Amino acid sequence: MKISTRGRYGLRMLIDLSCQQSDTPVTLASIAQRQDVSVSYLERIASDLKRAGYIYSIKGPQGGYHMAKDSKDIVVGDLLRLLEGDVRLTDNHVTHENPLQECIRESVYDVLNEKIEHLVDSITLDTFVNEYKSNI
Amino acid sequence: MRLSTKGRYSLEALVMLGFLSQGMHANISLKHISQETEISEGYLEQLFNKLKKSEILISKRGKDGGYQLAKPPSDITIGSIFRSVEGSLSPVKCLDTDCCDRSEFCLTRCFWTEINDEINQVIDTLVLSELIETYRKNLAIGDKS
Repeated sequence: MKISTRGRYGLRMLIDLSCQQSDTPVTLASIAQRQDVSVSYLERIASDLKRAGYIYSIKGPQGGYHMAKDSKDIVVGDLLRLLEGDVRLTDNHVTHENPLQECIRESVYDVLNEKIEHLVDSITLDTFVNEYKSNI
Repeated sequence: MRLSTKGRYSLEALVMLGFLSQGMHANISLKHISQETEISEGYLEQLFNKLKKSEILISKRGKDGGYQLAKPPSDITIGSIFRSVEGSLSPVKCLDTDCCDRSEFCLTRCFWTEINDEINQVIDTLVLSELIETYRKNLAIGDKS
């Protein structure tokens, strides 16, 4: 029951990128340094984020990344689902469910999954960005 | 972010155990629970050893031996069951250790904590007796229809 480093680092990477005010592209190396994570790991996450339209890259010696979306339009739940698969505690589809499993799912897992999904879907990236800006 | 079969099967086995013992101090055999839940005896035994250590189950050897709940099911939270077999339930690893030197200024930590609190709030208020009762009711409805 864990959100892996993919989800956690991906979220931090986008917050970091959104917080950089300059018009020049932001290099992964600078994000990696600020966030204290490896560049090669960020590269892999960046390619997924690029493909999904969250960021875009500029090639060349002065190249780097820019946000492709406004942080207020990025729902954290969507981002976590992209990087993690999903955010549920249990599988959505069970091929054969007996009455006992059905009872437990309805009383426990459905309740938990609904709460988690509600939390991650009701927060957008700008919440973190605004918090960062108010701290500096 | 997944609950493993350890937590899921433990919960199934304990609801079944509570259901089968009907509130009496009867010992239920591993074999019986295995038959009813379709969870292998070997796996159940591993899980039950952990549940015994955390004083959720007690076992008795011998001819009429087997397992029973160590306390009333209304005193056993779902959270205590999960924690005894899964370890920590926090949604991210960084909440489990104090060693992260970023924790004081980590923007996302509050968010993960919020999810963690929400999960704990649910599983620490829900007790085993509620699940046993719901299961019993469901079966009764199933029988009538």
